[in-house]
Amino acid sequence: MRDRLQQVFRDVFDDDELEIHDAMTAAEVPDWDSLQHVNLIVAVEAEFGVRFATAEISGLKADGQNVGTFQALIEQKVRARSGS
Amino acid sequence: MTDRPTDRPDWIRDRLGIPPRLFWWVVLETIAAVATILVSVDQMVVYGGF
Amino acid sequence: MSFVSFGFLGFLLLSLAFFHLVRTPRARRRVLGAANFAFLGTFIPDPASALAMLGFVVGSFALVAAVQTRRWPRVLWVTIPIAIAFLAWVKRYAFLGLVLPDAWLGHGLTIVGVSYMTFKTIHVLVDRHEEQLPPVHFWPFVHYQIGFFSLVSGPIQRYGDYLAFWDRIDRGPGSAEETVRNWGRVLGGIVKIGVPGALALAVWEAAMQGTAALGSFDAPLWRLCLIFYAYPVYIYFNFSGYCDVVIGAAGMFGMRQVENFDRPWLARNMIDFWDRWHMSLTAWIRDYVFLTSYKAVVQRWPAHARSGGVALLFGALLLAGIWHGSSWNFVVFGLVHGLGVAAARVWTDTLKQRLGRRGLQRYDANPWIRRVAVVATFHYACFSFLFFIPGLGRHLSHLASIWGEVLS
Repeated sequence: MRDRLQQVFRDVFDDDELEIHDAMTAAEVPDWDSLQHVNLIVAVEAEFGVRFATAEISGLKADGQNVGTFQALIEQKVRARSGS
Repeated sequence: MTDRPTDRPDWIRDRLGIPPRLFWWVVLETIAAVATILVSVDQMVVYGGF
Repeated sequence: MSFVSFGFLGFLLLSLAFFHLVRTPRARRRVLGAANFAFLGTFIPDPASALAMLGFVVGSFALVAAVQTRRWPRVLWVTIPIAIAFLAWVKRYAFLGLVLPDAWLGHGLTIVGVSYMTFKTIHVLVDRHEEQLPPVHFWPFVHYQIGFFSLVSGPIQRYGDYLAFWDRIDRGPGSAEETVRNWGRVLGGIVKIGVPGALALAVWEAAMQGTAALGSFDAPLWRLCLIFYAYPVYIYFNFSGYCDVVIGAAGMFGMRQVENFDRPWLARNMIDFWDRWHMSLTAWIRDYVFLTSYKAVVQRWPAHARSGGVALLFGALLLAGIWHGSSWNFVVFGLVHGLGVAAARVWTDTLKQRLGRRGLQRYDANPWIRRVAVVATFHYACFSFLFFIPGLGRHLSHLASIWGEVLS
């Protein structure tokens, strides 16, 4: 999952050297503004076959949220979708 | 924690549980606010309230 | 009730006293609820307005109830337009005159804070529909809407944050220091409204009239400068002062209200400006207008994502401008801000193409470029506030005559 997510990040931010880690936040990636945030969400939705609610999309950039919590949310949605 | 000169007198911290600097700042603010209310001719309503 | 009054301070302290005297969370809710109604009552001049307010709040809850009970995917397509249509009707938006009979727009109703309450309702509708909120009940919803911490002019608080406070409703922030700090903030807000705010407005009025009060500043060019700078300064101190009052008051009860201002004079472009000015509105527009629409564009027309993003940014700010008021000047206000934000976006994209990522970072870090950008943004924002003046039509000929004097 981490590798796939990292590739999504690299594609969206157009940076083959981008390394993501659990504690990484939006503030640390210079390009990560509202537009890129939506681009990222759309790419993640397509890659993992999940859907984010409006509040979830904006909540992902809130205090206390980071790549780790983002990945956990994706995993939760994948599990829910597969009915387990 | 050393006792910095600006943090005395202790009675404020002891009786009220707040730093003395905060206490005096609020005293000043209270005077300023009371003066503002007394002086304001049309008691300012917040713009719009739309 | 004016915030700059002993009445308001007395009301606040009295409510707090009762709040601390009672023992149970339920009793505290009752005290705060009563305070909310008492405060609301001071804004209701006649039975018609009372009925209108009642109808509006109950009607808003009916929309929420419809979303909560109907498992119909398209329910938002019905409920949100209803909410917006009602807002447009109450505020008597001029464009409605094209489709509605004049008599319908002739009502004399005003509902205090209706624009804010509508946006709060739409947020609840969307988030409840997407199951991001627990079930919404009537009385908590009513107090979310009319609570004196946000009734008059926001901030636009999210229901989840409000509920986190309302459900637990502890005795207060828990420390004397925090209570006193918040009290200081309330007082500071009153001073902001009553001193620099009122002064700036007085300067603006004097400059518009060309009165003797201006002394040696009555030359036309000076008057224009004063007009240009004084109005935005008035708006800032008036609105941020109000926010200090209600955020401080909320804090005294233990509720964390959302901030609305973050040193807007430091903004280096118009996008940054809206991240520092009326931040709760920006967040709402971003979440409930921009995110959804931009996501649709990216998914359906990915090749046009960039230009679509710029167009939607423009549209979102235009909408924000129109929300502020029903007269034509607010449309222009929205246009100016829409253009400013779209231009900022295009500028950043162009720089990234020309300079690359590293080059853009160097550009952003350059202090001289920042200074120029901040000054330019400040003046652009001041310019936009010329269109914020209510009854601008009356003033335009006046402004034109002052400008004529400058040129002659």
